[in-house]
Amino acid sequence: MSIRRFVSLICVVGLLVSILASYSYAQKMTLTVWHWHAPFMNALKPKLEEYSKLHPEIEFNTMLVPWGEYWKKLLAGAAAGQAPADIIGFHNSQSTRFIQLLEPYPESIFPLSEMRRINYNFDQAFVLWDGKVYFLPSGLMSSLIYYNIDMWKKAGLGATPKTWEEFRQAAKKLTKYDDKGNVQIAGVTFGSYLPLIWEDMKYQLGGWIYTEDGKAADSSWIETPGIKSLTFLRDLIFKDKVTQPGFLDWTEAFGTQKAAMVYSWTWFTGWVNLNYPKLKYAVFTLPTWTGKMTPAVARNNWEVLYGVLKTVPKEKKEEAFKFLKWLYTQDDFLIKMNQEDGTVPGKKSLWARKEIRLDPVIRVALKQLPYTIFPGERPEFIDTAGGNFRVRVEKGESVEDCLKAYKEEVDNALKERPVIWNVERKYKPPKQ
Amino acid sequence: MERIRKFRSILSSRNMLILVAIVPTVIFYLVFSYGAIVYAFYLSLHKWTVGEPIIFLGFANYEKALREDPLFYKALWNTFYYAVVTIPVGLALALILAVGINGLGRLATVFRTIYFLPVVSSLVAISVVWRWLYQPNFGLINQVIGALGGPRLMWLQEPSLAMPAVMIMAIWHGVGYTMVIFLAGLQGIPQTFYEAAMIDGANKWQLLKNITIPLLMPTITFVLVTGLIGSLQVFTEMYVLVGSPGSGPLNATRTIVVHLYERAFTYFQMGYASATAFVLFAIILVFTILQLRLLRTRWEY
Repeated sequence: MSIRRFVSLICVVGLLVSILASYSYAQKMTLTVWHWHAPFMNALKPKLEEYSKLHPEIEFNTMLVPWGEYWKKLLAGAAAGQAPADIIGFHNSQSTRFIQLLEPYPESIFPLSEMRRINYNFDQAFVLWDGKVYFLPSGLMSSLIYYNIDMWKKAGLGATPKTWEEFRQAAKKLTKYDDKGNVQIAGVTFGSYLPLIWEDMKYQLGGWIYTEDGKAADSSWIETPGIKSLTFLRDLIFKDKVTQPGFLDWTEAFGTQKAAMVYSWTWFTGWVNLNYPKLKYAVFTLPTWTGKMTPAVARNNWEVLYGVLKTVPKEKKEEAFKFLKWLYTQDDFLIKMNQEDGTVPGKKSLWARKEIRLDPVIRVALKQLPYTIFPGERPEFIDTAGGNFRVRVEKGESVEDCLKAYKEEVDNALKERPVIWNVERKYKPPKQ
Repeated sequence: MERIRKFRSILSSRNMLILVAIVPTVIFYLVFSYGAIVYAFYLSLHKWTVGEPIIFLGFANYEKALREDPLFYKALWNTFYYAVVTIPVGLALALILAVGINGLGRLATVFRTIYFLPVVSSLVAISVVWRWLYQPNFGLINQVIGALGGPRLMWLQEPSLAMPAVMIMAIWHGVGYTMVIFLAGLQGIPQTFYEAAMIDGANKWQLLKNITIPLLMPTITFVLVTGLIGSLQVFTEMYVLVGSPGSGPLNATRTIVVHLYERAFTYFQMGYASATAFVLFAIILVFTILQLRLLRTRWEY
């Protein structure tokens, strides 16, 4: 065979192969999955591959979009009648905004009776005010105190604190200063989570986030629960000097061992394990004013799995829901998600699993979970106002001024967009 | 046949070639620029929260911006504060650098490159570095200030310092660009004027005041006009340095564009955000016209 013929043959074969590949690709359906949290995506990817092996006509694309851009891009796409992704990681703080844009989970694939039977507290957390379901539980999350084990031992500390006063003493022992008196290692730092720990401390004193109708912030913000909680936190910063305004962001501070303790929600577990795998840390439940967990310890919130936008084409929607139904039967995946997130599974059958019972973060979270309050939707603008609140506190403004300004900001936002999904007052402390 | 010949001649004519070359660009601009502007104006007359029906409001959004929204005026104030500081400071620094570099001969290229490097660097990367520089406990700036006996400054956390911090970074980032424009302007000034003035005994300051600056007026006008337009639309520096959405501690770095971005993409009030954008457009238009009238150069030698 001459060289020219050989080259021609190669070209023809190559052309045929590419045509066949294109044809085969065209027969496949590609579903795009979005999420903002790398540990979740990493947990999901093996399942996507597994599903593609079982259903060769389905392929997946994944994309990590940072939280700050995630909702904007989804909304912009949905507003234009597009679906930037076929399957989207969802967060229930976006419920009011997205409820018109999400496709309800079809009853035919996800019978409500079955969902109620297999999941914990399903109606309160997942059947929204229109009676429909738009996402399924991953797990129930709350806040804990993360502490550096080596620093703890070095400071000669033993049992973890049960009261805020014990917590203060521990933080003081853990703090280190330079020769100018600046904090080099914070005993505890809160950063952007200052408003959240204040919220939990307020819950412990019988306060609430919302008024009963969800149209304003509750009066406890500017009464004893709010004042006492903020006074304590402010004293930690300015009197006890266990941290300093403008200190490193709390995630970096803990990861780089510039903070001995941080308050965080348990998603932090996956983040620390991914970014600082060698860090030796442990967790304990939030201290309380009395050492007891009643009436409440903290807020909780459901981490949820995926949603599907209404604008996804019909055939893709069907396949997306079929995939999600299959995914929800994958207990190993759900366990992994809960381990990454430090959450207690929504699926009750997983509670008995060893991986859950013995997980170092989940087993601690389980202790305080019955004493945590699920408020329903907690819109993002509360965190935006919380940012200004934190600035005022760190500037040294008076407790009353800080709280008044914070409440006013949230009241104005709630007046424009009240919280419809408000189930805060349904909380009843467990009987002792 | 005559018609076909005429048609062929039109097709092959130079004008047709030009038309074919520019039509795609024109269509692009009509659709993605002017079309978008027209649609934005349409939205500004409506209430539209994404996911909900669009409701006609007339000029109520404009009224809300100008009469009811206290954050709008805070944003306006911050925007002008930013412009009033960064434009003259940036201009003065760039002129000094340009005049200095202009006289360096071969070394001019080296220094021009050094000062232009920040301009071509990614603003996101720059902001990450500057955020660390500004870190109160561990940042280099406070380390230097501390070594000189100064206080610990909360650059990006203190409302009174956040905007100056952004301005310092913005000036540092943009001065190279203005300097290059001035350098080009300086090279357009005939040397004979300087020689004649030196023969008459003019010193360096007199040369600058009486020859350089007057003959550089068209360039200065250009820099001022474009600088003002850019400053009034500042957003990226706030967004990346201070963090999303860019409003900073107690809205210290909330500019008009930051405000409208937040209204559009955090609160999804598209109609109101569009109205705010048009108010900004009107402000920029007025100031640009004023500037062009006031800075009309009368200098000729």
